[in-house]
Amino acid sequence: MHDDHASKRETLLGRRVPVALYSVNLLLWIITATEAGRGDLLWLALFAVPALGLYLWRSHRTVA
Amino acid sequence: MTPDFTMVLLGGILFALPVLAFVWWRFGGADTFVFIIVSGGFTAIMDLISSFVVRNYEYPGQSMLWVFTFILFGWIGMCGTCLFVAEGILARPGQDMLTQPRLWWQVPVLTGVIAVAMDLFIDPAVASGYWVWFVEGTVYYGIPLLNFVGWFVLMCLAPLAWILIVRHREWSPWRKGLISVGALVPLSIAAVVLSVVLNGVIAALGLQ
Repeated sequence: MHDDHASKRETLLGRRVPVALYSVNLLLWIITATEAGRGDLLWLALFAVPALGLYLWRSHRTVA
Repeated sequence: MTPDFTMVLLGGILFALPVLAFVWWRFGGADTFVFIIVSGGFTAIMDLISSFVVRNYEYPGQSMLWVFTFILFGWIGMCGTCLFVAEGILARPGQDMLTQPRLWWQVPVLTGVIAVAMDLFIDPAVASGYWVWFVEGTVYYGIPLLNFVGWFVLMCLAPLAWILIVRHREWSPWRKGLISVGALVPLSIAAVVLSVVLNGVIAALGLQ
């Protein structure tokens, strides 16, 4: 049935969708913060970047 | 600028849908239902119950239904995105969070850390417009540290419960569904105990 969940993780869709979702999530909050008039605090979004970088690095190593 | 609560709610709902579609594609319908119950459902119910006990914050002018719906869908989206990034960081080739030994607890802990890192941006930058804290924080932009404790505890426990349930691939969909609903009670108790302990440590350090 759905016991191929581990192999699906390594398909193109399985690797790219988490990146897309995480990025869109962060982008939506950046837009919300901007609309709330807190553009001065947008740099705090940098806290969310290392996780994405680690994910991309690990995914790259897996594919390579 | 006036906060647009309708757009924020709509955005939360619309964002949760592709997250759930991805969970469905990877794991199937029953595991997606379990994810809805133990991520969004668990958090929304915890927030609803805690609002009767102690009100640390509020969404100004919003009904209980709005708050419940926003938290339900918002946390499904947030939990899903952080969970799959955590899995991608920790899982070895050919494995995932259900098959690789020790990931059943490592992925939830990292999910909590990633979610808190994201909230280090969200809360200071958005709180003043969309929600109001009644507790004054003294360490980080006026946001009380109990907020970050809450994020870590919930973002850790929800994926933990989900993994522990759905890794039983032999269980029927009905069994998984019933167990996920039943798990809300021990999950809530664990969340309260963990929060009290961690908030106690923070208070003992003289921080807020």
